[in-house]
Amino acid sequence: MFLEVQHIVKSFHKEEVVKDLNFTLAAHQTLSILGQSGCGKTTMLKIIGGLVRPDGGHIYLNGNLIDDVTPEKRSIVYLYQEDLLFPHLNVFENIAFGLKIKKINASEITDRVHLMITSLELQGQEKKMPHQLSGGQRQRVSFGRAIITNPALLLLDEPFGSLDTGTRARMQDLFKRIASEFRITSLFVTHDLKEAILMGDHIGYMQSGKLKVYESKESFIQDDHTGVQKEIDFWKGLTK
Amino acid sequence: MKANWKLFFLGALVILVIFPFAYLLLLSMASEWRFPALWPSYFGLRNWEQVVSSETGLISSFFVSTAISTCVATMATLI
Amino acid sequence: MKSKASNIGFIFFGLIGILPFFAAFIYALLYSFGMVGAANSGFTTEFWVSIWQSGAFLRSLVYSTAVAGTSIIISVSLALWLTLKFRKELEVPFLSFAMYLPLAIPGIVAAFFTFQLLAKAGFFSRIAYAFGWITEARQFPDLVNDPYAIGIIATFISIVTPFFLLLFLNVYKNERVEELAQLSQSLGANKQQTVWRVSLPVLLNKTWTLIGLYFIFLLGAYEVPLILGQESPQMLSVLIIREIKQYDLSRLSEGYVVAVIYTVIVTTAAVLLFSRKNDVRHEG
Repeated sequence: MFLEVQHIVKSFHKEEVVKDLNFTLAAHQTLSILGQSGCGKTTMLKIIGGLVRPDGGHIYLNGNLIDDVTPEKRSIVYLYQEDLLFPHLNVFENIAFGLKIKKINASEITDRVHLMITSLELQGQEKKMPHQLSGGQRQRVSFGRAIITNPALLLLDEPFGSLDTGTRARMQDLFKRIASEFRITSLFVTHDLKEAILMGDHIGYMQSGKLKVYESKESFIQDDHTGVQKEIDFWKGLTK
Repeated sequence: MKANWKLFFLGALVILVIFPFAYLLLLSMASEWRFPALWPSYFGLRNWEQVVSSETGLISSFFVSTAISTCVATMATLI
Repeated sequence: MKSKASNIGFIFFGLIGILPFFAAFIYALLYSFGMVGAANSGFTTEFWVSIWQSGAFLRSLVYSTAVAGTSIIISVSLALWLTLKFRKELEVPFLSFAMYLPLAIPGIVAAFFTFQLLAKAGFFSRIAYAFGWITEARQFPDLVNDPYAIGIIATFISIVTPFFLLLFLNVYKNERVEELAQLSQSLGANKQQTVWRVSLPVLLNKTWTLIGLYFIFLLGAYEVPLILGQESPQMLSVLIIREIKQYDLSRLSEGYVVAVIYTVIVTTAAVLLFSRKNDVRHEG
């Protein structure tokens, strides 16, 4: 498998935040993970991204053990809950950041960034500073900046948490389109039931540090813990 | 090793901050401190007694200062 | 209602903040052209010409700029380095309290203290003597009232660095530089690239107006260069006060000429600083 996570554990001050994490993910697939806030999902993502050191366990990416690889060499990008843009750079420079770091020549950077800006439907916004953008635009810039570096794995931590319902739906569509266009492998963490089902090729459910990945969407829907049945009953109750 | 270096540096920084206060206190208690001497030949409260007992108005000037700064601070906060 | 309140505030600001300043400026301007003052007898440009010809003002301006600039550059660099290297350690309550302590020392006391330490008969000179490095007080190098303004710069740095350190530590938290740095690393930047392309630009971007204002403040500082400066060239405020306090009444006007030029330069600089700041932030 492309990503293999084996027996990862992590405690903060004697409290086990992540308990024996095991899962695998094939290339170009999205695993969405449903979990309420405080269930350990952010810590899990930071461990995979190399920003937090686990107390034990191993992570393989594309067959290589990456436990001791520093974050900048992992080729894994962690996207924050909030659309964290570099406040001193405009839209173009924000998206170009990862390419400029790699010292790619300027004309190629310009071409690739413009292509990305078109895919993100951000034409005409290149020169704007982050504080002049709307929430949805900021989130798109933050996507583009991550995807343009061709990361092996993208970690999304409640990426649409701060958006209103309409923008959120549009962003979900956009993300699905871009994910298939750029053949992205990603972990998509959310506390929204519908979003989890919509975004993932596979679904997992995380509760107090334990992650369970379901064989299929059907088994996820059948499971009582996930709350899908309750939701279905609620909507059915309305139509009666 | 790295942590030790930082600790050492921070210690030096704290000494750098506290040293002026200690040195000024020392100066206030010293007199007849001629050049090559590392320690003043008189060390005690003589200067302090002089200032407090003399009629140069240090205490009243202190009260005037306090009154002025209180006024300024109050006005600045109100406006 | 809000606009009414802000109007009253504006009038107060005008009455208390601008009017006296403006009146003083007009007075100085009239004095510099010989239109006010006991010894003067009507409009003349002779004081302006003589100031221009003596070159004292220009030398003093260059000297002040160099001293204030050097102090600011060293202080800001030092504070930035401390922020990036020691921010976690400086969060310890005792240390963060210790960082506030130097702010309590007024400039004149700091200058006096520097003099006590660095003068030819000062603390370091005594130590050098005790170690046998010097045998007489005058062998100790000139560190105060010296041509390179070492004493002034050292004092400025010790006054200003704690302020910048506290400022940068705050901005580091508020602008979430920690997270931005992590993000930059996960986008492939190494530690050095992260510092130069993210941490430093973000910190400086938010603070350069204040840094500029502090530069102006040091440019016009009075007590410190008065105690630690040399005879000539002097820093601007010292030069101005010296000229104005002269018993020779004809020199008084020349002092006002310097004061007028200095005020114009500083006001222009301050206005430029703020107008460019406003330019950048037109949306929330």
